[in-house]
Amino acid sequence: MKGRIGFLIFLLIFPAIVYFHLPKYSFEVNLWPTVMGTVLLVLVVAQIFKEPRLKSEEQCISIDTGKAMEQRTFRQLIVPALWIIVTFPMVYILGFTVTIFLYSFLYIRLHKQSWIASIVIPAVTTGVVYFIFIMTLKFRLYEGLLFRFM
Amino acid sequence: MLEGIYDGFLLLMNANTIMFIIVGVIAGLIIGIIPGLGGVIGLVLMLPFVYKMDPATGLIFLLAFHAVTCTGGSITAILLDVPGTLSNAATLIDGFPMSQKGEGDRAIGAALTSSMLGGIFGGVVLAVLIPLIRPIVLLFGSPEIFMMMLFGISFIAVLGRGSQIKGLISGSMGILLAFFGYATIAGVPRYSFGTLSLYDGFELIPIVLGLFALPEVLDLVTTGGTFAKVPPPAVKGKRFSLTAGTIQGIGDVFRHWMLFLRSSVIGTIIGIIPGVGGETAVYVAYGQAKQASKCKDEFGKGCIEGVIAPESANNAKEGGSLMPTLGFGIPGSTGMAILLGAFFIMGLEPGPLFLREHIDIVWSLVYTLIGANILGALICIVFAKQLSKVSFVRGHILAPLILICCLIGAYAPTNSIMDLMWMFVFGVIGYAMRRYNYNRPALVLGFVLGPEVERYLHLSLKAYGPLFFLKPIALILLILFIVVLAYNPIKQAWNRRRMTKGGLGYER
Repeated sequence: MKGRIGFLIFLLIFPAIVYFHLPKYSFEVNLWPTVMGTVLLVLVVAQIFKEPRLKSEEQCISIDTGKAMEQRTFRQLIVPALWIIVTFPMVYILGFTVTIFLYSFLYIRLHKQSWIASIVIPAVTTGVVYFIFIMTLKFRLYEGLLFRFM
Repeated sequence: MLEGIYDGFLLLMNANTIMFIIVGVIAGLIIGIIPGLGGVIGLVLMLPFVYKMDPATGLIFLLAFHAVTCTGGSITAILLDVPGTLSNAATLIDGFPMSQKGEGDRAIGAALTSSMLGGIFGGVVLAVLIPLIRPIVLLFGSPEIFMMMLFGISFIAVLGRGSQIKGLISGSMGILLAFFGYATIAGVPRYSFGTLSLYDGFELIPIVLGLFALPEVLDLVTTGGTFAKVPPPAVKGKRFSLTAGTIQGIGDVFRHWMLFLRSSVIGTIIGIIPGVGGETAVYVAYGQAKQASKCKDEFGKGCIEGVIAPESANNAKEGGSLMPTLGFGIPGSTGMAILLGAFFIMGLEPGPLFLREHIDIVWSLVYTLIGANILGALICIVFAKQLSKVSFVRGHILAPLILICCLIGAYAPTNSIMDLMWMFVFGVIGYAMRRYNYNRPALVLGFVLGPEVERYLHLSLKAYGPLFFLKPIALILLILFIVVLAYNPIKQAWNRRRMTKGGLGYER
């Protein structure tokens, strides 16, 4: 229940932002955000009062398979989450092209897949990304802080 | 009206668009086959690809992709006892037992044929309804559009999964998120905290990638195994899968043509009702098939009717759900909510104005829906067993690939590295929303429609004053809005009262 209440308290940030900025903007600019902020505040408070009365934890259902999903603890999630979050500083420093290859190689290799898979899949992925996004769709992918100074 | 039909056809008739339809269908089948990635998640991953496309082409690609995910998902449901998408959940009840009895080919033939014909049925119904609803939407002005959008958000929030309050919290949060950034009604940046990254507000793609895709990537990284646990079916000596059993399955659909028609009608009608999920259509179709069947006892043990009914419904519902999406700007399903976001990314606004000004795009989408279903079924009939092997790709190989798609997708719209950060922030929010059963599609819908709701509110106030909602159609929509909000609490209170009178305890 702590997690559910904590999330609801987090949601109170949004109406708080709206009310904090009320003096800064005109009536027109404030009207609809204030209405929705108040609605959200009332709903969140109602749900906070409702949570302790719920008998059992609601099951978390997958949006795509419809089956109940395993609830994981914070400890179980910390390493997988770090694997995901680390991509942000990697992209920021090394840029997309290097990160795509390096990250996929390290991830696949460190998760005990074969050397062939660890090299071929990142190489193919980098090639496909280059072909689809850079050559065909003409996206400009971020070069990275390191390569900007080189 | 005839011009729209012809112009819509012309939009499809160029090599580039046809290529994107084929690519969209193949991508949709592959993604649909991978359990946990089909449907909404796949559509979210495809969004960044369309950002720089021509609007009509981009929407055609997305619809071709989305139309066939259920078709691909039926293969894993039948062969591997795992639904590729939520809409295939009812198919495996009889499909997998048929596979175990050695009738997998027959089940696949029936499923793919039902999917194809169901999709065509839904497309034809949509084509028939468009000329009927067009005169109605021509009567809509800003008060009616405002009420319609509000009604749509409340519908999705209330009828979606999870409690009503949580659905409304999600919808309200989505609307509030839309207010960050430049307020077009007054020309001032709002809630930007003096930062450049919030000057234009949040972008849709990082939000949907964070809310939907990142929690799934986290699951893949955590579990790492294959989705399918049953050993892959051995591919027989023949190069293709078009066996006598497959042909028998195709014939079964025509032998049970009444069942197919009933199921397609159910799927289409339920698809039209906004907020009611695809799983409802397939289970209702399955239930009516069992009730009307002469061999009820065989259901659950490998009955062909138990495959035909849900597969007809799950593809027919797409045509139905496109109707409120295109005609009124209210998505008929979660996938349509994401597609609605794609419309706004392309600079198009589905709803009454859309039917007036872009009737050619509407018709091109109808043709796409029909064509994609035919193409998808034909590919699957030939390559079903080869395609099923895709669901044996390990999570530890899939996870980095999907994450890379998310990173590029979040960066591509505005070339801003800060959007990557926002994607991770919304990833945390999305994980929490999924864990505590909050309605994520309602948040997306609120975010997409929020600015338009505000714009039409101000237009209505300026044109008609504070009592704008008393206009006839707006008043009807307001009453429906109140009914939708009040229905669940009144029903729960009524049930509680009945159960208490009956001596049973009740607690929610």
